Amino acid sequence: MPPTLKRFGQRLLIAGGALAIGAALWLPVLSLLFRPARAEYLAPPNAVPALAQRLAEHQLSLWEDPAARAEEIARMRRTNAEWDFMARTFFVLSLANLSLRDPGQADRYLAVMDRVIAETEAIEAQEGHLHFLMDYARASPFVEESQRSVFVDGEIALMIGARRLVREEPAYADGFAERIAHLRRQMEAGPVHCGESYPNECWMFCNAVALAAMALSDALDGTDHRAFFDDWLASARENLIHRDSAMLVSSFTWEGSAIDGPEGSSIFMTAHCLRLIDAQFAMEQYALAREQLGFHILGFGLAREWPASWQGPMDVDSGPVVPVIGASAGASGLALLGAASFDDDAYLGRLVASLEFAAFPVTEDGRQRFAAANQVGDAVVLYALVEGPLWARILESQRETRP
Amino acid sequence: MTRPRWKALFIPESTRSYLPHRLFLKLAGLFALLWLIGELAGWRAHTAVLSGTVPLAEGDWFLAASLGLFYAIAYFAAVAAGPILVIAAALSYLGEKLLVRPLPSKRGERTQDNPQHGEDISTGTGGAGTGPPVGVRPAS
Repeated sequence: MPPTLKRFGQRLLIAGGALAIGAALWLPVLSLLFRPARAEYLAPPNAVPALAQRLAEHQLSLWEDPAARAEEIARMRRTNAEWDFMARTFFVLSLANLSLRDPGQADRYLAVMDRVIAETEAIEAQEGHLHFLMDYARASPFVEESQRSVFVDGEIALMIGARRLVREEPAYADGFAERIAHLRRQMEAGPVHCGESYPNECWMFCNAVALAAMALSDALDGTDHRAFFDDWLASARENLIHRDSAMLVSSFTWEGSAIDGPEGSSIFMTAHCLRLIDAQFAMEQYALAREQLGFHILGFGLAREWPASWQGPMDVDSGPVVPVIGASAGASGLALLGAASFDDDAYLGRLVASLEFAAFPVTEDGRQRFAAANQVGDAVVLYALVEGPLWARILESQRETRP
Repeated sequence: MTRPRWKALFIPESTRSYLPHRLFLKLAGLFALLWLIGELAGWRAHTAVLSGTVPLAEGDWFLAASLGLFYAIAYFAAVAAGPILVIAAALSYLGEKLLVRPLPSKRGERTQDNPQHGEDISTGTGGAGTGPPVGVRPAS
């Protein structure tokens, strides 16, 4: 072998070895540089994590600056009209929890909650019940005769119920009871006790939210949905579990045929809501999702959109799916909520490290947002970091009223 | 004889033309520079494309999405790969000093690692290719 070539080979080996050692030294410590202190994302029920406070300030500022909010809404609606709506829901739920964590700020937060709810109901009244849905909602009639979406009624009812649980406001009572009645009728009419979000398209996420709204109704107004919850759970266990993964499917027809299998952007919120209906079943679903969808690479927590046993397409809920590893922004964002709700602190810390590393935080004047996300993404993260007190209050009410 | 171009690409004519630690440092610097350009240009705001969100409410969303993607790639390259390259540069420099023997020159007078003692065989022309190599007496 010519000396030059031999020397080149030696140098190539040294260079390759140096790169391998460099990677072995750097990559394991990378996540440590992006993992904030626990107080940033975890706090006892009477305190607010620092990251959550900054995210809340940004969200509040959007409601105080009509121009900035209009631009944010336009940006989201250009991709998905639902996000405009869901950002409101997660923000109101966040403010309810923030009010309970920090009662000194409750007046400020309640005022914004009232504004969000009033504007949302006004838009629904003006633009129609389907305004917050994607266009295909108008392509065909709903199967169920009320022609209403549990997505819309469920989330508005949840917002109103959360607001009332923080501080009662009699003006909301009738509208809330009416929405709960709509939800129950729609769901009872369905062969698998689920209502449609879109024509002949039921979403587990939306039905779980509707169940949580009913649980709020029981806590607030003394209604009793226990028998319905039992029927729903029996039906879900029998008809809506994906056999291979044992997780609840994410979407199905009105008759109960699965459209999409278990989905990361759905199952974590579903499990969170089901805590109010059956804590054991909810925990089982979270554990399955955590096992089959949650993972971490080099200390960064992520979640897959689909389990190995079901391959679905990339869609507007998942956002772009990272090739090979299958992680998606939608699943990873909502995994934060699952981890927080089920006290999975280790996974939560890893997910927050991923946010700090790959979601491009932008901080100014005590406000924070994630540039790689949008208003609904920020609201989900905020809700994940402050959730707890609202659900605790509902569960406490259940313990008081149920033997 | 002129060395074939493909060979020149993959097999360096001399060891001097292939110094990995310099290449690694240049790459790390390039990644950092691209990230800095993106940061100063404000393209971080367009990274919403990573969550499937249109980065702009109005205007050329495709351009904004491309810039957001460029920023994200430059950032990940600078933050994740950059330090690896810097560590690798230091290690490969040390490795070469300790493990690679100096290559004797064709005339046995000087080597790539001691260019002041002989002809620079990296160019085959001596020095920068202008005039006789330093330290070598021109043939009379």
